Amino acid sequence: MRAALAFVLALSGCATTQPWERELLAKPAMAPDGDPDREALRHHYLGTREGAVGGFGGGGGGCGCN
Amino acid sequence: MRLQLILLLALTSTAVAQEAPADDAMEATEPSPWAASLDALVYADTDAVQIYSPQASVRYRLDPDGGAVSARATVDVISAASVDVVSQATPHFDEVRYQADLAASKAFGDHTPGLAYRFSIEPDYLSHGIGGSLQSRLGTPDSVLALGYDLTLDTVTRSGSPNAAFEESLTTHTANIGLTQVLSSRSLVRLVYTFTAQNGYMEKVYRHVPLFTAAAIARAQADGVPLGLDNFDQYRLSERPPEEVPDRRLRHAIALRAMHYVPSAKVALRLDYQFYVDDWGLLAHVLEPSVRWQVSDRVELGAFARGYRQNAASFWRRTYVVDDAGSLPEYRTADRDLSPYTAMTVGGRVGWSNRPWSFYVESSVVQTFYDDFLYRDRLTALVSQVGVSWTP
Repeated sequence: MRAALAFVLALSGCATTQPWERELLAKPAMAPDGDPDREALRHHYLGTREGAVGGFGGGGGGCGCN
Repeated sequence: MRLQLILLLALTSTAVAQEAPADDAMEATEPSPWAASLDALVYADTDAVQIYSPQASVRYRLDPDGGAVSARATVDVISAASVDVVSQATPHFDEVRYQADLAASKAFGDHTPGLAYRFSIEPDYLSHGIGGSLQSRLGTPDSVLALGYDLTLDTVTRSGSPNAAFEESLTTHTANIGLTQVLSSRSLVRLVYTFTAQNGYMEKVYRHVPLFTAAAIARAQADGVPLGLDNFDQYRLSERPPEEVPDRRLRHAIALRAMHYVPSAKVALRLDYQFYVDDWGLLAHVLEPSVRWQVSDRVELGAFARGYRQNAASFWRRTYVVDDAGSLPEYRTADRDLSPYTAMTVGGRVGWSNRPWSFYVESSVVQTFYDDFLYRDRLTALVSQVGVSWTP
């Protein structure tokens, strides 16, 4: 946990990019969330087939029975 | 120079990420605030489970910094004869689940608070979920902090029984904190920690657990047959107690995502890693690399893989051995998601876009290897997802 905190603090010290330097970051393929609706559909499926939850995964309702 | 700047701003305004750092200057070239999409996921596996999940979404953007109002409807049509259930004398079943999601968020300077509500219903399960979130730029659009909390209230019943005969509840609290950090004009990382606390009924209503005596196990060994799906009924006790797991579960997950764009190849690279641990003794690792290649202005190809490995919950047993039917193990389960296993996924994706329309289809094969599951050693699944979006 301490290492993770140090990592986060180190990241927040990174240099700022200017608006005109953000063309590549603005591409859909570089969206850190992806498409939220499509990711929700995918993560609901993963949530019902894997024992782990959380992280990048969402969930959705339902029991996810086999 | 001015024309170049306008062109650059138009390009950057295509960002769709809710948390992607945005710039106020984008506002001048905002497209229509409306967006809609139709998606469907199809799942089929060698355990005779098929799931069809169509989904419709509509979104109205309130501001260029991720503020939006959205609604989503999802239906799961499940057709199953899973060995988990059928081998315990429950026949093939079909089930339909309906889910609705509503969400709203609005940017106020560097901060974007949001609210969400989710409702899900199926014949034996009712779920309400509410959540709040806050995204904040930490002085720069390159550093975005995200906080979230969700409360889910579930009611579990038994299909075909009056609710008075069987009704249980499950409460789930989920809190998360995440940081998205731009590292350069072509790289970013995201770190997320999620804590989930569950209290209540977490068994599967229809799942029963076979019990064996030591003598029966010895007899199977003497017969020279490894216990499995085809023969376990011959050796188990006649009693089939229902599954029993703890009523509380505390779950932790930490995930790291690294993304990098290679402009010379028009390729976006992504690597996800996730570590999960809970107080049931389950521990899991997920590694998911993916690549997306912009073949032309309209066509994109992608490939991805996912490796998943987990150990067993502390009370997991391949076979529960008892002295007699009167001495039940306190906790017992036949849930393969609590067993040790490895799952490997490989898949591909094709995307096409010609504004306002975009289309994609992706398919993957999932191979699961169970280390210690009585009913099955492996499972193969095909998963496909297809969708079309309209973003004027």
